Amino acid sequence: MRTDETFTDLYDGCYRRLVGELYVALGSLPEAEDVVQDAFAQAYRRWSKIRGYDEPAAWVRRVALNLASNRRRSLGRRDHAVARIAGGLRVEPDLSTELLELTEALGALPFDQRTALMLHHVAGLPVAAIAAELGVPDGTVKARLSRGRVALRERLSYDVEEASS
Amino acid sequence: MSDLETRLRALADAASAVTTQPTTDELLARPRPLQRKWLPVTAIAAATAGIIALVGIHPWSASKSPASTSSIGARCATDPVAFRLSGGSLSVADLLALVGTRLGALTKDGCVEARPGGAVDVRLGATGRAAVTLRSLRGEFFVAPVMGTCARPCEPPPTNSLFGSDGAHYVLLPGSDGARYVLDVSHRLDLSGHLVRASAGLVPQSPSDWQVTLTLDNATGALFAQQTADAVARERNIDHSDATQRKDQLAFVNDGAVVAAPAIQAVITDGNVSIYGNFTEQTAKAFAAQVTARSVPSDVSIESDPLPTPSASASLDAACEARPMAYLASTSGSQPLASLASVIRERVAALTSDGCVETSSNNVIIRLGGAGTLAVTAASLRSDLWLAPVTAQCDSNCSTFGKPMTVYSSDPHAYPQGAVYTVDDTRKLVLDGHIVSAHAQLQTTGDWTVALVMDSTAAAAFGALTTQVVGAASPGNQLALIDHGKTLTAPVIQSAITDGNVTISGSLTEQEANMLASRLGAPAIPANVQIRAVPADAPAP
Repeated sequence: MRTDETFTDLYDGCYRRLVGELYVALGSLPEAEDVVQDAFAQAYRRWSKIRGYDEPAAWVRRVALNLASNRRRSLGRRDHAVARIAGGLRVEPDLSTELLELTEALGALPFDQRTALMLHHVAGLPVAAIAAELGVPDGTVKARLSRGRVALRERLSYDVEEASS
Repeated sequence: MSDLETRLRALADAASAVTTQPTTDELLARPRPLQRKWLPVTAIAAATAGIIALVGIHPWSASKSPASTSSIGARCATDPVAFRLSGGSLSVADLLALVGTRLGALTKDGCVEARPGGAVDVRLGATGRAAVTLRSLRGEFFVAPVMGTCARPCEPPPTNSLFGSDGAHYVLLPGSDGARYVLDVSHRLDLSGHLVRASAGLVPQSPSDWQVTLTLDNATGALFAQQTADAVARERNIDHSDATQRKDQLAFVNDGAVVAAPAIQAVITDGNVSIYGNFTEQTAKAFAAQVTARSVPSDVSIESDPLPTPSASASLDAACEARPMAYLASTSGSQPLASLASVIRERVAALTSDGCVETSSNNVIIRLGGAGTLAVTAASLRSDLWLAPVTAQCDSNCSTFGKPMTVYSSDPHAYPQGAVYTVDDTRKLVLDGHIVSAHAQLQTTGDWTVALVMDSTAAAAFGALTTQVVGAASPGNQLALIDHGKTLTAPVIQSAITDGNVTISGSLTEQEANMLASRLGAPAIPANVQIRAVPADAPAP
């Protein structure tokens, strides 16, 4: 039987990686930290159930993505202002010029496309796994990936084609 | 692996590298998402309120740089002189250029000109006078921790301004919508003169909104990192079930107005700060221009409006009329206005040097400059001084804001850890009106002390109180001296003091001793005197 220490193992082992992934999808480090921390807090509270999952980290990532998606959808105009004031001061990674260019290009993409690109290229999930994770058909994932790449190609100078299928 | 994949992973790694992982305890201390409140509504209104005050500021275009000429604008010579700047190590040409740039960031309705002898005059029309204050001309821009907020109507909390503008204290800053912030200005960090860059731009996540991005110089960036760390720690240390107010807000204050008061959610170590709020393109650009314009060095003195004051007004200095009216005092008693004015004048002088007192036919008028409004409130004008036995002491982690019976120390020199005392206020000894004299003294040991003489009524009660507490177990042998809800000092009573002659000692600097003495020694304003705040846009009486 697992104990609290395995939650700590999961938390210590995956926190930074998940924040990095969510940062690619959200474009804001405080926002990424916020949802990842909330997701880990939920995981802790339901640990007796989640510890039995094959990949608890994937569960945490899915919850974090849902939180981010819900917040974006449900925030009304005023709440939005609140969030912006509350997040008014930010620490952001120190990025090279080309990565800054990439974040700006990503910023122009819809959340769905960025999430698909992140899950595929950063988390390394195949299309079928992404479709299962997001609860959408394979074709939707493929379309999001391909539209995302097209949009990035218009803004970036380097090769954005997928090298392997 | 494609270039895109490599770079996306590099992006994730860059974020992973800088994120700070909270401890498990901190993680579980987070408010649950559904219950989460980012900010109380009053604070939101207030956070955006300061911006409104900036509307109407039009930066001068660069082509109007005054460096090459001694007078700008055809109308200049006809406007009255509002400010005169002199002294300092800058050449006249440099000072002229600097003041011209600052003025340009504040108003179009004014000009600068050099005077024979090296002074620089600022002439302002009526619009300019409304837009330019001594404080904004100097370029004061700072950030300070927010201790609380209140909405209109807002009784100044007891934790209001203690000392004058030079002392360690909390102040209440009004916003243009009536919401106000209680700021801990003893922990303020001056940003003017420490900005490498300030630029207006669109918010990346919300491209219809504007933000101002500030880049601080290295030294100030390090201090700001400490301030954000303190803010984050304050928020972590409070009891979330009991908290109605975030403790990690920092207020950005420009020209006496809170521009934004964001909650600090992470320590900001690189000196790059983005201020979001209710900026429009115009206000964001104007704000950036105003804070970027170099501030006037502190060795340059600024005199406001050298107009002669009417002989009827008894002002603290010659520039009384240039300051807006802040409070009116009137009495229903029989005290003549002139004697009331002299009592109020002494209190105002104990609180700030940026204010003056004059009399009209039926009111005593208190006029305050920008610094004065920080230091003087209706509550601080009245004396509220008492002594009581200490019942307990705890460190700065106590969450006591707004609770009765507990008082913050306001003197970070005397209490570097921000000690908080609880006192037995059923045994309090009110000192208002019972202090005969108070003055600073330099002891032969080189220490500054304050000698306090009480009248016979207070002396008898003080004798009884000291007799009761002397020899009690610590901290019961301490008497706290409370001024407007703050502990000035809480000395240990080593023997009964029955003659009303008291010396307060303990690590006071000359300045602190003088301020304490003037604060204690100023006469109390009688209870039958009414003090009313004057709205900023009120017509002359």
